[in-house]
Amino acid sequence: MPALVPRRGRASKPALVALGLAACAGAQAAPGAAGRWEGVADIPGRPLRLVVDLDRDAQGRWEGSAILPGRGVKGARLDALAVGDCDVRFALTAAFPGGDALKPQLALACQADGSLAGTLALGGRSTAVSLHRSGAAQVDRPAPSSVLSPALTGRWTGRYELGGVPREVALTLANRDGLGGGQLVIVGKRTTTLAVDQVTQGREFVMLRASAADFRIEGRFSPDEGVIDGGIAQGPFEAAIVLHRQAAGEKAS
Amino acid sequence: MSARPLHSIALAALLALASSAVSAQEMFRGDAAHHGTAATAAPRAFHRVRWTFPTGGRVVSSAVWHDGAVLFGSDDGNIYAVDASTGRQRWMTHTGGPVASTPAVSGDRVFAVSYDGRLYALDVRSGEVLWKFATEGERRFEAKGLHGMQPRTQTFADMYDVYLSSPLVVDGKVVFGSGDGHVYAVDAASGRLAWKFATGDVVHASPAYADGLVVIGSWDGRLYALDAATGMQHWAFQAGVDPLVHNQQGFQSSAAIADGVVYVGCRDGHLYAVDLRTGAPKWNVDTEGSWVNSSPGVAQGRVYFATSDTARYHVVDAATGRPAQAPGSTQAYVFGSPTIAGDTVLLGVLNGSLQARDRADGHVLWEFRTEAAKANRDWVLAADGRFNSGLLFASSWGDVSAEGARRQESVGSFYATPLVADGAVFIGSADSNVYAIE
Repeated sequence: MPALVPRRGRASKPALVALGLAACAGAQAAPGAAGRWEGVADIPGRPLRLVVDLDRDAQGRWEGSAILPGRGVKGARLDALAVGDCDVRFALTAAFPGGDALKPQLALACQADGSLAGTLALGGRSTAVSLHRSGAAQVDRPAPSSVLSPALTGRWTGRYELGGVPREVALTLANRDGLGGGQLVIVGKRTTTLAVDQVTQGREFVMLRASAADFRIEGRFSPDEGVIDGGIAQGPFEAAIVLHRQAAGEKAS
Repeated sequence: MSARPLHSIALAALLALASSAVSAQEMFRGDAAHHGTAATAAPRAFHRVRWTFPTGGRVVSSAVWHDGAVLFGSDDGNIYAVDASTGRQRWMTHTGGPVASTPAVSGDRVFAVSYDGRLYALDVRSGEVLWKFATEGERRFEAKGLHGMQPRTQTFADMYDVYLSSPLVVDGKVVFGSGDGHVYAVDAASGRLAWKFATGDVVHASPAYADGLVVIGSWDGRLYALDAATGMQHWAFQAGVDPLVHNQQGFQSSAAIADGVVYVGCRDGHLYAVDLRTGAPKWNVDTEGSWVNSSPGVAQGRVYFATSDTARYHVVDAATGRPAQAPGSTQAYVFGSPTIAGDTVLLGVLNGSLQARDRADGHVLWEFRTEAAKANRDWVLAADGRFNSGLLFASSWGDVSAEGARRQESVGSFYATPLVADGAVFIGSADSNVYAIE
């Protein structure tokens, strides 16, 4: 079985030279598991197309993402990714609704013809998967949170109504470890506190996401007026909201 | 004068020409009047697939060109910019619903409509969201007993209402139709509403523009001409309606405007030519009850379009509507629109075939078929390339019909319209791929 990753510490000097030359040849040489892999999982009666991108990040760690054509999935992160000499394993939790319960896992091994073959386990069942290399990797990386401008950091308050029930919102935004994030407190019939783990600050538009509840706030950001004018969204539910920036020490009205 | 400066001048002129040519392909149908013409020639023979770009969903959106990239939407909810040479993704921006509209580029911005009911304005270089404009919400055309589906008292969403309106950018405004029944004009810079016009039903056709008028059809069976500055109605042309099963009704086709005449297909089984100034009918082509969802292309006194059920490719005289060529068979339904590229006309077919035809006589020069069409699982296609309707539609009960329509697309239907640029043809498929073919 050919190895996906060259074994370390065993190569002779000429072999190392040859490897070096191969590396110099650049992208023409297939760098182990790195690449775009396409194929099918043989789910009976409904073959599941898979496109898997595997690559190393800037620190040399393996990373990857998946596309499920026809299932609306583009760039789903691969979890628990392990790439060995001749095997690749990962979970595809992000690619399936209810993925936590279904526990979708792929276990693949390299084949003599250069393909990867193995199994997809999903919801307690298992089926064969075969992937062939179709090109260079195009890993979709989640966009990091923006570094927030001083005009956006701080405390914001607003109100929205959903299903006839008013909710008061208090949003606190800050840069932590160089990236924007914060906390969202929603007070309606009960009080919900959510971590804001994704903030995208554009020139004119701000998008915030609390991924644990898939709760989003977005809107036009007017720094001079201290206003975010937009809406909240959670699944199919949407409502308008205007958030006002609170001056330091100011209490929400 | 030495040969070198001459060569350089010629090269510079060619590059300038190429640059201006491709810049015209920055919106649906290539330009504001929707002529459907490409300024560069298409391949006269199939050589190879330059690249295939997989997305997560059906690609109904047509690709447009900007700065060496193709931009398009996918039903996976994303708007993409992909390098035309390499097929590598430049950026991807997520929306809240399928992006079944074709983007429009204007200046440093790209605009597209999503099924989340919003018009998006993005930075064309990075995909950064600049603003969103919310309509009253998207929906498909729907009717009781639609297409004869049963039970006849049940309201069904139209599974063939596949497109969203593709924006037009004119005089600093982004104009588009919505499933909420309105035509909107939104300031391109700020995203603020400029005007909106209420029609009687879903508007998923795309607006065309000429001489100060926006022309767009609605599922209410009317074609409207609106003042582009104010949104005031200039005229309305009433096409056929079908109160029984609503099958022979509605404008899914987008208009093309040339020399003061509006050309548009209709689901009432006609292609119409209407006077741009007055809305008065000039002539029509009766397609024997077959939908004309295809948006016509117009060039040099000829109108090019295709039909759905009768599966025909038509070329007619723009002045009279009389056939300029004998109609050709497309094998299967056509919803997409012809792209006229030099001496070639390209057309996507719902059976997963992209056809290149000789413009002069209409014969098929080459054909590209998706792998799904070749595999033809479940015998979706008959041996002659038509849909195996008897196998697909076991009954007229609603869910069975909807499932049949979904199975039709499994061969990689081409709903999109081909983009011709950079020596290649770019087109998305219901198999979730976008293809670059040369």
